[in-house]
Amino acid sequence: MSDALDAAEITRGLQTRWLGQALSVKAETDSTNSDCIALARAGAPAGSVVVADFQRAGRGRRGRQWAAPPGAAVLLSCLLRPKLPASAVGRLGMAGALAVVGALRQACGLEAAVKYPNDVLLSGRKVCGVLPEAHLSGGRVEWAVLGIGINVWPAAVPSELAARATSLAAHAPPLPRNTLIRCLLEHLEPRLEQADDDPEALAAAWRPLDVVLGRQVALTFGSLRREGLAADVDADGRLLLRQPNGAEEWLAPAEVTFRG
Amino acid sequence: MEEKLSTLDPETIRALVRLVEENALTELTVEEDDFSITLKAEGAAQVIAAPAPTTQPETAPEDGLPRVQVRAPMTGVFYRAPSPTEPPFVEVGDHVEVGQVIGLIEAMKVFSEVPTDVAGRVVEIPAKNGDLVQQDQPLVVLVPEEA
Repeated sequence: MSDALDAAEITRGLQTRWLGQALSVKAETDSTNSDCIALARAGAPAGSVVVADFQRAGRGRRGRQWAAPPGAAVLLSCLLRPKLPASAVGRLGMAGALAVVGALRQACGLEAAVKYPNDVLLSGRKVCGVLPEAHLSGGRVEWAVLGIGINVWPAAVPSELAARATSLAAHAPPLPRNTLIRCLLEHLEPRLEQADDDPEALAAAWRPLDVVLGRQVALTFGSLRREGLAADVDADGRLLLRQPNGAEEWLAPAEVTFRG
Repeated sequence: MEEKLSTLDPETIRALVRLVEENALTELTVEEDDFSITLKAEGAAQVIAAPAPTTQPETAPEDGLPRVQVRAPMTGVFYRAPSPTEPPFVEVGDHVEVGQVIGLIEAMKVFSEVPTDVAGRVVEIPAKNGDLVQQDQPLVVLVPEEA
């Protein structure tokens, strides 16, 4: 089965109003997020999407390398111009992760979970990472780029991460990536609109899927670390941490790890 | 002595604990006459203090030149460079233009570029790389460009 990426195939019958209506597919690029950031600075419209078969300099958080061989993953980034205050920018990552959960359910029949703030898990292992980047102006988000990487084939998972990461093919029959991307865009558009207009609905969809809630966790903020019970997530994407002394705080950590 | 102790009732101490936690302080000492109480955060060596935001939009230091602070638009971790292997966006002494990015703030794994809306010369960078900064906390201080 050919699994070549094809823009016409992705957009054939695409049921979105604005997301992916401008879409480019690249055989290889440095990073789809970098491509979308360049589009943002050039004034491209919201909803522009870049898909790549291979990233020469794919990246995760803070320069961590994200390397998948050609053809093994879905790598896409979307340019967004959301109506969000800076403090609510975390909703974008939640919207991305929830869209992936919806697409995996519809296209592959898989029930995925999420892990705060924006990972997607199958059987407790990471199958998808989301990397949002934003540009702020006057306390608001001027534009944002939402990068989504899904491990489709086992080759996308480096052997040293096999205990913590997985691929779609390990859980379901192979699905053409073009179909998966189309399905993902159709789930992502309404989630992004919720991020703008109905964040309570986003939080309500998030809570039953998050493996972090109800668990003892450690939160990391740069060099600062906090521990406690992850009690809730709010509509701005903040996590409620309940400490052993009963004190509660709403926090926006980047990294959450399980304790014990 | 007992009278002074009673001024620090459990509710007051709880409020002080909250103050330490919410501002990520490593240590807080409150002194009153000959009585004092010191609260130390657990794992204090790892903690970086995040001072409360100042309400002064501009300061007038000794050199008489005006100052403008570029402040954190949100609470999060401040990064001075695009990635750990790249040079900082700005250094003290640099000239910056309107819209130029002076740093990143990360919250909920979202990296947000923080631009300056004032042109000028960087004279101070009070926020350190990797600091947890509170909304409105000064990140970079500029002497604005003369019109």
